[in-house]
This record gives sequence, structure tokens and C-alpha cells, in this order.
Amino acid sequence: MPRLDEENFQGNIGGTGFGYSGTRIERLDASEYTLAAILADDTGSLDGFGDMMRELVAGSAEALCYSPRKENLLLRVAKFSTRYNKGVDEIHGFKPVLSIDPKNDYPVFDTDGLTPLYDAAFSAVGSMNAYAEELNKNYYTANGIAIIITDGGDNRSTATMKMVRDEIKKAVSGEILESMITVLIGINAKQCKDDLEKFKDEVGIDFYIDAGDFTPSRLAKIVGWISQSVNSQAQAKGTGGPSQNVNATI
Amino acid sequence: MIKFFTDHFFCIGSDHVNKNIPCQDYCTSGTFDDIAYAIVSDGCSGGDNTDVGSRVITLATAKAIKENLSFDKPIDEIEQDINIHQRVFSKDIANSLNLSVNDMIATCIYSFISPSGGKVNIKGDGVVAFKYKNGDIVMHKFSWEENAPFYIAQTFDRNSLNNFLKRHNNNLDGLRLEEEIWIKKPGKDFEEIETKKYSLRDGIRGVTINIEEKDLLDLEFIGIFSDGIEQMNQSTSGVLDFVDWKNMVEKLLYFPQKNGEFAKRTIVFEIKTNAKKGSKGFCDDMSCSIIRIEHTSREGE
Repeated sequence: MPRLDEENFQGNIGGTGFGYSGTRIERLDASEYTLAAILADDTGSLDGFGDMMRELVAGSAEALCYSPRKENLLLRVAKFSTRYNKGVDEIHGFKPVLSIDPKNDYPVFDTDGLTPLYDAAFSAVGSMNAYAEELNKNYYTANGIAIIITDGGDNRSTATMKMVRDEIKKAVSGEILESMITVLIGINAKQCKDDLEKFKDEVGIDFYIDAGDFTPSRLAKIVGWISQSVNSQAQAKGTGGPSQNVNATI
Repeated sequence: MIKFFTDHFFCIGSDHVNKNIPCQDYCTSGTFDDIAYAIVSDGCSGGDNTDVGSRVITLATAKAIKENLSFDKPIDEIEQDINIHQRVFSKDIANSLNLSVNDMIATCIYSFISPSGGKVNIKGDGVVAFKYKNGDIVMHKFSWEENAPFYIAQTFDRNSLNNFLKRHNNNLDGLRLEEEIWIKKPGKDFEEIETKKYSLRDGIRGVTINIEEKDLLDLEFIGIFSDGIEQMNQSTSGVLDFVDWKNMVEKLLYFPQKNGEFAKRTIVFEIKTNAKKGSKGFCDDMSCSIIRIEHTSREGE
């Protein structure tokens, strides 16, 4: 049963114990939305990159405020690490990008713990499905894009690969979302590239993108890529299918 | 305290898509100064650029409403002034854009409402519905003999008016416009209340439905629809099988959430639900404008 406060409700992903939150449906004025979920790595292997991870998510949120479809964009941002309950700590749930304060809404990442990659992927896609189901019940329509940013393969997730695969299949075959794009971005991930590609293939993630070394110049490119890809998916809303304009490289 | 909210939506019909004709319906709605208005217009598919005509008529009517609505005049006088200016503005804009009468032949239904009451004015055909807080829906369908509705633009010149009159046997007293009135109570079947017939003269003047101040206490939605609402094709084969217009009205006045684009959400939901079954949706263009009436017990609540 969702818990309520004035602005948001908290829900569960299919009784799994994985939670999410989102703006209360009655506060959403449009008829259709693009749901974007960004799950960002907050593990010990990114020690020293906490500020940059913060810049990455805040920069992406800020860029989306300039989207031509900004009135129809809902963004959820979370961090993942084994030190969090169920591997995921939500920074904010699905909320209109125009209500986000990029300067103040995003903390510096503490970068500690191991990598629960399956938890992150399950949370990203599952939260989108669960929230979209609530939207559908109230006659809203939605499409989605889930972006998971990581520097390593899975260490110790609660969720299984099957759970992730089933959520991805459910997204489109269950007619919950008009379309869904899932992306895994690897940063500083040269050594686990093969593992991440394998994970992508086994669960059905659309793209694995190797973003190379996590440097300030690459950060700007990643932010630009996220913004452009979310915009493309937002503009594909209503076409019945996913955007054909999401680049496979950064 | 009463607050008004509005929403509107129009969509192209599959017949128009198949014939490469643009959507010839248009609608708008809005609120200002404790007043709400809703307008729909349906361009004649036998005309020329009636996609433009329906837009001109709608926007001219909106201008007429905004410029003539005042709390200082009796409501009947307000309606008269709106009607006069609706025609004047429509004709002026048509002339300035060199639009012919054939571009401008479009129906128009409009509604305006204030805390003291309001009106619905029908020139042409279409459907008007009132949904009450207890779930009752009273619906009015207007249709013309020969499927030849009156268009305001037919009064722009003598020839057009004469042709229209001739179509209706040149008899201003002839009963050429019919209004079916039905009621649907929750859990019960549709029940016909009455069928009224109007003379050609009255049809040209426009039919008015009055909304009294006391009606507002129980009223939740005023919906106005073009006659495209009669053509939701539920067939998945080549045969036409339309959902009964009364059922469509009931579906299109159901809003799980009543904020923002509430009308658009419901219409899109119905179109998509039918599409999933293989239907092509509305055959004719369909437009809909809704006014929602919200009562709060105290100011600020």
C-alpha cells in the first residue's frame, strides 16, 4: 500500500521490498509523460570521484530543464552501493524536471561499498513499471528511459538477473509503457567491459556504452548524451515505439 | 465558493486520414475572472478549407465571449451580444483572410458559465451533456433533417442563405432540427426524457440551454461535443459498427483524475482502448470541450 504525503507517494516494486517514490498522480496535469530514471554508482571503486558523480546527475537534471518536452518529463535519481538497504538509495523519486533544484537537490556521493548492479537495474526498470502502472490506472500514458551508470560488474545484489530480465520484458509486453529504452554506461570500466556487455545481453538491456575514463571532459559528454537521449525518447512519445535517435556511443 | 476548470481536445477521424483531408474540427476552452467557456466547431467536409473555418469560428466566438461577458448585464442580454459579435468577428476575419463562405461553413456550440449561471448555445449539430455530482448524466443530441445543419457563415451572403433555406424547403416554420434528451443514472439503463423539434427559424437563431444558478450546486461537468462522438467505430472488420453515442458520452465524461488535461486523457484512453481491439477509432473528426465545476465550502479551501 503506498504511503502518502502531500507531494509524493511511496510505492513498492511488486512486493519485492524494493521501493520508489513519485509525485502524486493528482498533481500531474499533462496527459502523457516520459519517465527517466538515472541510477548512479556510489561504490568504493569510485573513491575520489564523488564530486564528479554529483556533477553528472545534477548536470543531467539541469540540462533536462531546457528540454522542449520539459513539461512532460519526470525524473528519478538514485545511488547504488551494497551499503544501502536493497542496494539503492533514492535521492528523489519521479518528479517534474521543472521542480528540481540542481544546485541543492543532489548531495556529493560518498563512494563506499561494493557494486549491486542487478539491484540498480531492477530498481531503475521496476520503479518505472510500477509508477507507469499507477499512471495507466488514471488514464495517463508514458514511455521510459532507464540509465545505469557504473564502473564495475555486480558484486552482491539482492535482485537476480532473472528479476531484471522479467521487468524489462514487462515494460513493453505488459503494455505498461509505450516504449522503454535501457542503457548501461560504463565509466572507468575497461577491465569489466566484457562482464558488463554480457550482463547487458543476458537481461536484454538495449545499449552498453563504454564512456571511457571518468574525466571532467568525459563528464560533460556523458551529461550531453543523457540529456539528448532523454529528449529523443520524450519526443518519440506518441509514436508507439522507442526513439530511433539514441546514439550507441558517447 | 465555486471554481471552474476547463479542458478540450480534438482528433482527426479515420475517414479524413483515408481521404487525405485535414481535421476539420476545432475546439477551445478557458477561464477568466470567475468565468469559464467552452467551444467546439465542426467544419463541413463538403466545404473547402473548413479546417480554417472551424478555427476562425471558434476563436471568433472565444473573442466574442471574452469581450461581452460582464456581471453587470442580464445573462440573456449577454448571450445576444455574444451571438452578434460571434457573427461579426467571424465575418470580419473571413473577409480579412479572403475566405469564402465555403471555407467557413462550420457548426458552433459554445457554453459560458459564471457563479450566477450560464448558457449553452447550439448553432448546427452536436451533443451537449451535463454530469452531476451524484453521477447522473443528462445528454442532448442535436441533429438536422437531410444531415444539413445550419452554419453561421450561411448568413454571410444572400445566396448562401437562400441555398440553405431551399435545402429545407424554404419553410421557416418547418420542423427541421431535432433534440433528443436522455438521462443516465448510475447503475441504470439510458432513459429517454423527450424529443423536441425546432423550426428552421429557431435553428437559425440557435438553440439555448439555460444553466440556472441553483443548477450549479449539483452540476460537476458541462460537456460539449461535435457529432463525431457518434462515430466511434468498434468494428475490427471492414464493417462499420459505431458505439452508441450515449455510451460514448458516458465514457468521455469519466475522469479518474480531474486536474490538468483531464478531458484529453480520457479521450486518448478511449481511442487507444478501442485501437487495442483493432478498431480505427473515430471515423469522423471529434472535438470536445469540458467545463468542470468545483465547489469549496470556504474561500481558500
